[in-house]
Amino acid sequence: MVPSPEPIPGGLPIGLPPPYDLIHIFLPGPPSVTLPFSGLQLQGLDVEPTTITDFKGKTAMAFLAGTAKGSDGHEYGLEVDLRVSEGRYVTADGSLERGAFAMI
Amino acid sequence: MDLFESGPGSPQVHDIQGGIPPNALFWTVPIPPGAFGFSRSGRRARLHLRDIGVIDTFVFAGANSTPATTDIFVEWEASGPAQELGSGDSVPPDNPAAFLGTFRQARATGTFAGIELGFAFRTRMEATSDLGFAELGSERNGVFL
Repeated sequence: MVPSPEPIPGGLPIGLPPPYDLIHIFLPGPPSVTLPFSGLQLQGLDVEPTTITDFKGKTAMAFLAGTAKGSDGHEYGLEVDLRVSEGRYVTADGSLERGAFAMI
Repeated sequence: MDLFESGPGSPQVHDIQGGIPPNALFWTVPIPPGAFGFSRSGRRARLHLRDIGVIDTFVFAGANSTPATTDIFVEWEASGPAQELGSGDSVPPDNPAAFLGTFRQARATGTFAGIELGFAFRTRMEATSDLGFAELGSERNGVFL
């Protein structure tokens, strides 16, 4: 198991009981986009896409939508917020590590 | 990874995600070496994950959860020029722009599947970012600014 990275300091104030009072993630993308199922509005292009702080590396992110077939035979609407980061990061104890992580 | 009863505006019925550990890292899990890679040009990226352990809380921030596993196959292809993004350390660390990066907007396509006790699902066709957004690139934040 690789040592855990730390979360970005900022995020979205949700106002629910911890750990959902502040979730350490932003919503990059054009503010004109509202995600089809969740109804979330994106925050702009100049917005941090990764969930990891003290990080240097490659990141890809996507908000995807589609449909899925359940084992119950029902067809569901699918919405996915996916962030993937691979590179160097600093852990809470100050050690420099290398690893890859996905926010699912 | 959220499943909704039917179309837009319908209730959420599954919320499959990586969980939140004590340090508050949001839904982020380690992935195996080689599961994620960029093309040499930096214009394409690919993620292949199989049997990644996650949880299903059924709704966002749901109080109940059950263990699940997921398969994720996503490809990104750049659709625009490279852009310099972020404001670095000229803004407070909790600002959304507290990073520096070079990113290209992209189109992402992918398939998703999940399985848990009593339920499984699989995308019927490729999901896309056509109604959302995608980008790929390189960045640094925190102590690397």
